[in-house]
Amino acid sequence: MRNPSVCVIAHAHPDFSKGGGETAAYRQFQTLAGEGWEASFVAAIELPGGQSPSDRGEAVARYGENEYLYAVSGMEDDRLWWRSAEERRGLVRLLAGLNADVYHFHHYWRVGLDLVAELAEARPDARMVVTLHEMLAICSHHGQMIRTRSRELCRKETAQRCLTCFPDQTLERLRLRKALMISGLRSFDHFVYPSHFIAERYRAWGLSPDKATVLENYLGDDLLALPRRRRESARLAGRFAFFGQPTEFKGLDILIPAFASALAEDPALGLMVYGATEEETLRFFPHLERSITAAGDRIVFAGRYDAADVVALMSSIGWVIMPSIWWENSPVVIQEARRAGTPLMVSGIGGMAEKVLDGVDGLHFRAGSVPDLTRAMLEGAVPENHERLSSSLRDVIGREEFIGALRGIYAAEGEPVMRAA
Amino acid sequence: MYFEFGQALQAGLDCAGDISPDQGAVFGWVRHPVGEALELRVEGSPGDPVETLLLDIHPRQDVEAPEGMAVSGFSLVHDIPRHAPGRLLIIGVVGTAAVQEVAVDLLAYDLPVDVEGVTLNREWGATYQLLHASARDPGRIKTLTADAGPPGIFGGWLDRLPRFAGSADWFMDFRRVTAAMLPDGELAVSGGFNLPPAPGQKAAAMACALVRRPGGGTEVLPFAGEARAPLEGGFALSGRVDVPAGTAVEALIQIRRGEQSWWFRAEAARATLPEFLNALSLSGVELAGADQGALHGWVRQALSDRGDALRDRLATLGLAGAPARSGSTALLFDVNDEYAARVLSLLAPQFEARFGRMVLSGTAASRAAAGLMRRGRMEITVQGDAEEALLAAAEGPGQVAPIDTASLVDAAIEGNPARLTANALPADRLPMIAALHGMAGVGEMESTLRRVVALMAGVDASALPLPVQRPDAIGGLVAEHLRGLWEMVPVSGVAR
Repeated sequence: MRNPSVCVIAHAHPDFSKGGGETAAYRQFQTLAGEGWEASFVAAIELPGGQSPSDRGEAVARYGENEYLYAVSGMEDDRLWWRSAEERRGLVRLLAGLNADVYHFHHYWRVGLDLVAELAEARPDARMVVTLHEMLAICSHHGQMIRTRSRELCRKETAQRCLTCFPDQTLERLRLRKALMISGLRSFDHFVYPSHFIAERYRAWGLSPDKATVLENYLGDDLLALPRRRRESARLAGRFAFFGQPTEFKGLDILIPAFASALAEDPALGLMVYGATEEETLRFFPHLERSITAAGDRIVFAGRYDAADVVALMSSIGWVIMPSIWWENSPVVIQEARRAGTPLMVSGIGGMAEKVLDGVDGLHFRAGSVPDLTRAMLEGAVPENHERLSSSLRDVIGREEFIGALRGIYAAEGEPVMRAA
Repeated sequence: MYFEFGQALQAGLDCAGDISPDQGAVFGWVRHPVGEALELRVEGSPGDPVETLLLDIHPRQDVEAPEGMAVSGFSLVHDIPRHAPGRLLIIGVVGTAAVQEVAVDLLAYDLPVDVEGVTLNREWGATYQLLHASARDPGRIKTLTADAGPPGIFGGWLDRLPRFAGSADWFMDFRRVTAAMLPDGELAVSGGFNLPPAPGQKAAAMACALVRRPGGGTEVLPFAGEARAPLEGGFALSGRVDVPAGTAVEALIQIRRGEQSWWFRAEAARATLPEFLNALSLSGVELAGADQGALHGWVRQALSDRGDALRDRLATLGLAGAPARSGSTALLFDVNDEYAARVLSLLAPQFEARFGRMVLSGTAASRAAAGLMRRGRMEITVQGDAEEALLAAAEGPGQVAPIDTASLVDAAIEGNPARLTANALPADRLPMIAALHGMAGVGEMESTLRRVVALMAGVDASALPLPVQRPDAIGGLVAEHLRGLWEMVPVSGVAR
């Protein structure tokens, strides 16, 4: 039986931005193409001054073999809808003209809910699939489901609760937003979630679980080809690293004080911060200056890193720590650490708690708790503990399993395919 | 012209002329002893009676009244005797012991005959009272039809009256004056005095209405059921003018308080019921304690009378929703949000499968319609507001399903398009909603339609919001009135 032709549509191209969603989308395209499937990749791009990606001014431009870029300057400011019906139609014509059996979207932001609906009408014979990497449809607060006036985690969407986060809105408008999002998403035949956590959030929100599959993002052939070495626990157990941006919800302001406390008990510990310089960190969190000073040369800010080097970097340390104070849906960092064979310490919430099993792949600590992270660091720094958890650490989803799951998603009619990732 | 009939009886005649080939008018005054009654009539020749069509006696403050004497102004409209050559004015004064009658030959003196010209320059109270009386009996009294039709002899005088339209914060000696009219012709005119308090002096207000019909015809009509509040610090009056919708109506008002009088024209603004009730209850006008009680009593009675008057009409408004059949009209009357336009666009296939036509109104309606029109699978009509949308929907055949944003949202979130067709009405029943809005509307037509949609869907009426009311006891009366009106309306449908 021939494989279906698949058009992967993403809100960005990883040549231009390095977000998890577009990276996963592109890896999927590359993997399918590498398997000999007929695949294409269509991605949004925002060039300076709203310029067209084509030098002839067309809204869509070819970008390599079976790859296309489209401009979003014809969209509304919220990038959920097209202001220019003509530009939307042009893009629909391109997509429909690709004659794909499956249109697999990664995100609807910078894609347009109206475009999805129009394409579904234009190609009723095609299967419309979306991978929902985030919760923008559910939560107006950047999809983070974290309260705007505190850093309290939000566990349930209701218009009334949302109104307390956005008091300048009205209940009617918030309900309209939900009606818009859910109506738009119902254009899809199937939903793919990278974690059970996010799948459950969308189920509780109103999307049918009967058309859903939980499928972990595929890290790509290159990373999967890297050898997974056994950890040297005696040397690495006390060496921790953070990979990420120094943003409000990533928890760097939890990690650094916790490390300073742990260091007071075990001066041999070390912490690498990848993705942020000391200056950037202090700009976001000025109050960390005392902890950073106390940590002295035991904390190193390594700044930016190349994504291609991440597994190697992770292989050089004992623990990857993810102290996020928001849910994290399905963090690539966790996959990369598992691929590298490096156990994790994560906040025990959301996608982190799901992807890192406490006592199997690493250790959990209470989200936002400096003392509990200190406790976990000291526990993890014991070589025997590190050795035990390193040995039970699971690898990420493999190519065959990923392709097999996609084949099922693209072919299935009405059959729920909820799988453990 | 002055006539003296002795120390105890004098008269002044301002004019004696014709207002039509068969009707004449005599204006003037009589000075007579205090306590004696005045009788006036016209005779063709001595002993030949002529029918008096109208005799209005009014105060004349411009004529001196020595101690023990009274001055009575009069306007007398009479038939013109066809065969009798003469025209006598008989002035009679009825005392306790005797009757004194004198006759004035109206044709023997060079009395002014230009009734309209004299009307223009008469004391305004006399003119107003004649106008008010003429409006009550226009078939009989031809003052309003003289000189090429209404407003007859009053045309020039009416042009001189001060006027305001709708409302004004300051106007003459008043503040916060308002003239509001409901679609069914109910009118309320009110305002507060911008004058020092006048304890014990209650304002006496009168009104009639100058009506300009859409085709160009003009009439002066009485206020049916004219009622006025007994206030010292303000005035409020109400009544009904039976005119078709779209007719321009100006209330012609006289207010007297103590020695002072005011006459003006107030162009009534088309009002929602809450606005009308605000005018009726002098919302925003601060009144002294005694007036507050008087106003409360008056408003209570006015609303009670209004409820009684509307009960039967409201009870006949059977708004029974039933599932819409294929090809019906969808009426989306509150598309005010960009998101609503987007939702409509996303649900377009569901609408097209169920309806043959869609009528939209609201600030985002055009945006929504553009997308639907591009699809070209349904007849789309956009109207400026919910009222016009209702009219447009009623023009189609079959059924009309009014759908508010809340229902649209419910249908979208639940993924249940059957909600969209749950409650439809025959198109020819829609004018009842317009009538209901006029009598019991809870704001703009959008609000009334939302309430109807909710009631048809089985929402408990007591759970539905009413317009925000003033926080005092009168606000309670108004809320109770609105609630009571809706209890009189039989609305039913398919429950949500």
